[in-house]
Amino acid sequence: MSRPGACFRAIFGAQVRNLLRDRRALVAAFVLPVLLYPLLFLGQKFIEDYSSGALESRTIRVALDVSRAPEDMRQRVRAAVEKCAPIEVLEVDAALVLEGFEWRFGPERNIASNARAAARLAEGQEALIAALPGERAPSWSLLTWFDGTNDLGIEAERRLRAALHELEEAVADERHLALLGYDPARGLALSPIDVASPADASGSNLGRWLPLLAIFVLLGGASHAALTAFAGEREAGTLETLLVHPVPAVVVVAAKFATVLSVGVFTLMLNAGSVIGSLALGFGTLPGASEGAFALDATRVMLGALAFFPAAVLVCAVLCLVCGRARTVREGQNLLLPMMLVAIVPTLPALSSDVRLDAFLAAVPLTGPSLVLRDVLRGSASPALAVWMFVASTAWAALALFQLARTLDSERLVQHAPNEDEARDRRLASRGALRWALVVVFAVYMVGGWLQSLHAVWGLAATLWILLPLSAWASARSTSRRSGESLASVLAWRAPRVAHVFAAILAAPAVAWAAKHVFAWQQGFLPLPREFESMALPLEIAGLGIVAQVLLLALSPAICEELFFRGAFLGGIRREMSTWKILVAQAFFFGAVHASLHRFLPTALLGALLAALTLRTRSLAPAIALHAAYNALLILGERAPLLADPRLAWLALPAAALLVFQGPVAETGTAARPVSRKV
Amino acid sequence: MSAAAIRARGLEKTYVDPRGGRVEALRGLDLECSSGEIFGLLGQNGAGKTTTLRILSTTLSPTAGSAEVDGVDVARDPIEARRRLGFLSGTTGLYPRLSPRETLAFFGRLHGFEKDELDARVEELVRAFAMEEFADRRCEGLSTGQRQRVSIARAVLHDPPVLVLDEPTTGLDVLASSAMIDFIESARAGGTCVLLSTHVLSEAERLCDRIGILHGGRLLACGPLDELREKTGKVWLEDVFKELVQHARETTR
Repeated sequence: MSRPGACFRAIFGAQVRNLLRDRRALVAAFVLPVLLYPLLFLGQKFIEDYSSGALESRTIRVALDVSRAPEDMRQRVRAAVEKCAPIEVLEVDAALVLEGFEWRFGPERNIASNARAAARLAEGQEALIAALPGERAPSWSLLTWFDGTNDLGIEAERRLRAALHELEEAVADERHLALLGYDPARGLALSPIDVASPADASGSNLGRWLPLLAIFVLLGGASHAALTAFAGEREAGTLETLLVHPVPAVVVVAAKFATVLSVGVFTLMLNAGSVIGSLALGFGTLPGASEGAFALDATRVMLGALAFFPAAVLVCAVLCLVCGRARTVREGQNLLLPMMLVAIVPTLPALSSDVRLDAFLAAVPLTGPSLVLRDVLRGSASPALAVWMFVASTAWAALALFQLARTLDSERLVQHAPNEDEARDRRLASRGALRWALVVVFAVYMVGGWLQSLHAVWGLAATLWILLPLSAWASARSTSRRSGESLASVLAWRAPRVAHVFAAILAAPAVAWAAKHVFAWQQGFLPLPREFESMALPLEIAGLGIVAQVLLLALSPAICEELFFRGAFLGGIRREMSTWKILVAQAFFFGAVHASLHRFLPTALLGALLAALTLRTRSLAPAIALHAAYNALLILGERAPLLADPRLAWLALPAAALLVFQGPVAETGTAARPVSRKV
Repeated sequence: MSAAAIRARGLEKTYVDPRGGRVEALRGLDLECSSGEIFGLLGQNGAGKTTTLRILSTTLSPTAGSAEVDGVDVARDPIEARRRLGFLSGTTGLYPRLSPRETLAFFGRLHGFEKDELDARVEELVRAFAMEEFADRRCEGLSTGQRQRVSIARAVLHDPPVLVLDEPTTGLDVLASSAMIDFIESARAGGTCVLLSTHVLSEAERLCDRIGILHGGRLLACGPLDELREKTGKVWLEDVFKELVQHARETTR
């Protein structure tokens, strides 16, 4: 009788052996990290040393004209310049360059002089120094022209600046002494003292980079294992072979996940060890490192690793989930690429030491562990927040694992790709839907704009309740004819899970909060013109009662826009395009239909989010609920400050949990979905 | 009377297809096969052969009806059903970077073999299927015929009373096909019940004690070849098959 434990060990052993015999995986996951960082750091150091050493040893040629300097200074300037050895000094007459030089423009804006100097430099000198009487006697100036696009020119400027600065200070001291009899700066000594210990300083710098590196490495190392264990085995048929043996599917999943996690964690340990070792051995430094030797407390490293472990579990579980959905390795790679890019974003706040860990950020997947890892390494972690992060991250990881346990649904795994006729039908349906989206955008601009110019309220109502539903019906009918799907199925017009609708409403405050911040960020480079601010709503609409406003501006767009965009349009493209392309198309057309450059980004992001929600829930109702709740919050937020409270954004956490883990794994793509109950 | 090795009663399977419609892959299939018998399932693509075999191998669940393997209900106790069944199809693959010996040892552990017993069984199979030459080479470097031998050995590793073979000779050359046919005959001789789906009618004529013709998810006819010949008035199995399918189409038109 086979026991689950023995089966787990057997599958785990076979998976690990299979991976260890894959040379490419071995090199990418284990050998490369060990060699990569020392080589990278040493290479960086070598190039820096070589390049600065090489420049320092090169002779610079300087054209010098001190004829306009005070007589007693000419020799001192020459002596100072000569100190920039190795150097060749050529005495010239800079009269041609200085012709027409005017102080009132400032040295940089004497364009004609600068152009003449550039021409002079082109003759072979790296710098041209000319003395010039200052605006007010007896001051005088030394102007240095150099070519900032030329390494040797920059080096010449650096050497000359250092030497002439020394001369400048000496002349200033002499003047002070001559005029005052003492140095007026005496009595103030600036002595900055860094109170951070070497371990704090090293940990702070490492803590900024390590979370990003850890996610990169985890995704890189574990993704190959996940692709091999799930998508690769499905493609090769070994998954089906496994599932006809007397082993529960959950044991198969557990063993495969354990393999992926082991590979991921081992790769991460190797990479982190290699980086820390390279830094400790002085092979190089990370960007932004402070002066002084690298020192790191081993206890902090251990605590940081512990804090990051739930994130590693979550990443590996999600990798397995994604790869478990793919039918081939290639399909898995296509699914993983956007996921890998997205997964890096939550770790970015750790790069800034200004982002402070709070209870909200601690609960955000990957962001919380990244910030705690950063704080633990620099010795400033709050134990309470670290514990809260650990609990929250463990909960996210547990939910992902729970979902993963249902991945190996043999009914889904044995489905085959559609035939060529189906592929052609899907392609035609997708093109048709894209054409309809284009038509709707222009119809809303032209017809909707004209209707609303006649009467804002009735024009908007007609646009929403006549133009959009008619377009949705026509587009969905066209898709339905091509694909053979029912009209209701194209429009995702089916009963939703109550939990999904509830989650959509809970997510609305967070979406409104995010939109407000996107808008504020956008103001930095695309400010809203003042006249737009004062004309936020046409007078006829602003004069409506609150109920009528909610009906017209929240409920009507939610139903009618969703009917077209997440119904007909999404229904037309979802069988042909990848999830990533679907989201981009939805964002573009939904942003475009709002006919405002300033509203494009927030509405485009909302469109992509609503499309993702519809794909996940396979029903239009949650998108309608979120859209209506979001619009209602924007309308009511000004009247009821409670609804605009940013703390309501916290509701996004239970919403995300309900959406991600409530209901089966979302089915996209073209696989048939078999049912095992009577239909 | 001993229980049938395979028994299906009113088996139905319905898929929801991506177009929102539904596909009835099986519509009330009744089937019985005994120990020491080779039963051949014939049918066009989409007739329901693979669905039937996958329900018996527990990778698919029936929408309605029941199926038993060696007296075990596949829906109620799929793990026990799998212990009594050897399943082989064109889509059941082998780990490319494991050797045949490691492959057999791995699947043997999943069947709960103890180490000594497993070692002995693996060696026995290596000899029985003449795999000595390549038993320690990785499967990715083996020829199609060699891989097929490993697959058969994997399917019979636990000496199951029932063998379910889905188009076992597809993609094989003449020699490998011939070896497979010899193996199926030897399994029958050993008292194993073999349920076989195939497109190769000559294979079915040679091997099968009884033949079932599937069409549109229903069993059109079932019995020894002579009985089917008598029923249709045709001699060759190909003609028998065409006659039955033609008649079914006319009836449903």
